[in-house]
Amino acid sequence: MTALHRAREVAAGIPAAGWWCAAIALVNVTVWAFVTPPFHVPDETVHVAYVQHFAEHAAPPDEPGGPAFASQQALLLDALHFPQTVGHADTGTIWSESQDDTVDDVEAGDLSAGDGGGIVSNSNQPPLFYALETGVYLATPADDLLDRLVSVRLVSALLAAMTTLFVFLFMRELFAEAWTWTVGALAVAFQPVFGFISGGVTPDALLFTASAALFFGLARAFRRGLTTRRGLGIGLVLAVGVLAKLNFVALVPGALLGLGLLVLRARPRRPALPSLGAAAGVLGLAALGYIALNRLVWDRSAWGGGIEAAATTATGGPAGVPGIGLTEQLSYSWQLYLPRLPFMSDQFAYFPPYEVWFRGTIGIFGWLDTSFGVWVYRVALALAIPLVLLAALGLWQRRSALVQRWPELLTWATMVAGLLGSIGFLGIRYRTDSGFAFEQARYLLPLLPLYAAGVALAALAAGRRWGRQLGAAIVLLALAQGVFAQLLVIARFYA
Amino acid sequence: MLVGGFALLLVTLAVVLAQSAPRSSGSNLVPELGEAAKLRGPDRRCQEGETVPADTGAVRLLIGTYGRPAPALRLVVQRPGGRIVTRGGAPAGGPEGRVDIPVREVEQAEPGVRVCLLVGSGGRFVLYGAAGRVHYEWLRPGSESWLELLPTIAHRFALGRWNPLGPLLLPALALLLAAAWFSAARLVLREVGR
Repeated sequence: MTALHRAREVAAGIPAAGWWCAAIALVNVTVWAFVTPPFHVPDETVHVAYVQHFAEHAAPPDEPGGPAFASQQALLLDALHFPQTVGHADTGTIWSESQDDTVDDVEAGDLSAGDGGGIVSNSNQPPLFYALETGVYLATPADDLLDRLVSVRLVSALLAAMTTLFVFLFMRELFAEAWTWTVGALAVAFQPVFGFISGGVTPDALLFTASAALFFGLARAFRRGLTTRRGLGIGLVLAVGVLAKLNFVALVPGALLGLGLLVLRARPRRPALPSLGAAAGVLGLAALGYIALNRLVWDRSAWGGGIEAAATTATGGPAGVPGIGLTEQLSYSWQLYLPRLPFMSDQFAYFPPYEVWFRGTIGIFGWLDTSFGVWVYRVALALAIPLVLLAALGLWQRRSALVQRWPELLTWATMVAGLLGSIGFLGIRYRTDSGFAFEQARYLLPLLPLYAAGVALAALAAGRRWGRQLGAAIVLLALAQGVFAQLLVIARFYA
Repeated sequence: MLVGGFALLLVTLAVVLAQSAPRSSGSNLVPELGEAAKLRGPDRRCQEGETVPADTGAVRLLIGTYGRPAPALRLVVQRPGGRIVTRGGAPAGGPEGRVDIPVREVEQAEPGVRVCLLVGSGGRFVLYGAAGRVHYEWLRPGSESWLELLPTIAHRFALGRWNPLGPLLLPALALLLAAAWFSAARLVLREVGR
């Protein structure tokens, strides 16, 4: 059986509803890719700079003291009045023909695309996403950066469609009720923060895809056993995730724990070991390949600086931040997600579970400069609380199944704890270093499969009579949330 | 139920899009970071190199008066030769904060003009902006709903990007989104509504 034949067989095995959900996500995120003005997705400026440098030099930007942007991008940012509009919600993007003519002049100019390359905030990120985007960047017929920006944004939209498909497949493993697969996947397809971020040039798009694929791969292995093929698949997803964005590393311990539990649970155990070896082998090979590229080709540290910097910071080394004790770290991380306990020192002037995670999930756009009116978040909270309670009820109703599935539950819990812990770990250091808050709701989007599962649990908890209706209502709510978010961004930048 | 939900969504959308208010015609892109000028009326404050956008009928300013009623304000926009492009004024007695000063309508954009604000007597007076430049937001004449503004939004949306469709890009995206909604509704009816 050829690989192509096998791929066709796998694709044919996916229900049509899954493909429809992916197609709907592709269309919705494509709309987001056009609605958001160039460079107004968080950190898109440096991500585009990375892609451009990678396309011109086949290497990550890594020149100490060099300019962050190539001349082409720097002048384009000025022509678009980006520095004057980013962060200022009362200032739209360019609105007049004369401003547009200036942009056209910059685009038509013979400006260098390869004289950037200075070290910026994402230089220490691995290059897989940027390499993927580079292929499309180079394949775009025009030399204009704005034309290429659309092409590379559409790759992100395609990744969002894949993420949605993996969420659908994850739901299919988790729930026997087929209608919940569609409800969960559509809730993700229309989630506005997911759409907004995935509509930009950002490695988050590939991070979300790899995370969703990892959840799906592990869920499938827990139900159908860890075969060599599944082990290879999980290893491949781990490799893609680690090489897409370093944030993915936070999910790896949980995934490895899951693989270990799968082997321990297997009867007989010995045949499952090669599967574990396959997963670890693919991940190890990818890591070795990346280290070799860094050391031998790009002349930089083994992990490109990212993991080394995190490790140095953790041990309070030369580049680390002194004075962050374990108690303070735990207190910060706790208060990031939960109400402060009486014996804890106050870490935030606001309540992060609401201000950062809830409001951020309902929708804060641009470079965190575009948000709904206060009342919108309050209405959303009034709608969300019953849904969360219903999801909790749904979990309680399935408690006996959950107890039986404890290895899987432990795996998800460890992955969640890894991600939440890493945000707390990096957040307090970033704040100490820069004085700014680090946390953004998008950092939780690798957990989109669990978000979809929560939606399905809430609908199922409503019972046989009302469950499907509630599922349909949740999709409608997601759709409404999505379209009002798009209107908000249109009003912010064009009205 | 799904049909009812969609109907409710469309009604809500229609209500939102029908809301009328003064709409922006552009700004001088100066952020409101802090005090840009402190005056004690009567006084004047002029700013060179400004652009009045097309379709302008008022200017919006952020002013501070230390709690006192605002003084009378007059705004004069002149070309380099001194010819007046537009002018307008607001009477004394209003509250501090955002103040709209109606001006004679400007149909075509006027770049490179001098904008002077004449402040009547009334004590200390602050204008906001950054680096010594005052933030001016220009407003379109009168009040418009989002629906009335749609052609203007579609025009602005078409600028500063790769766009083979011109002002039709926004309607094209709206159709694309409507197709996604229709597909989602059909899918929900088929998969969930059984």
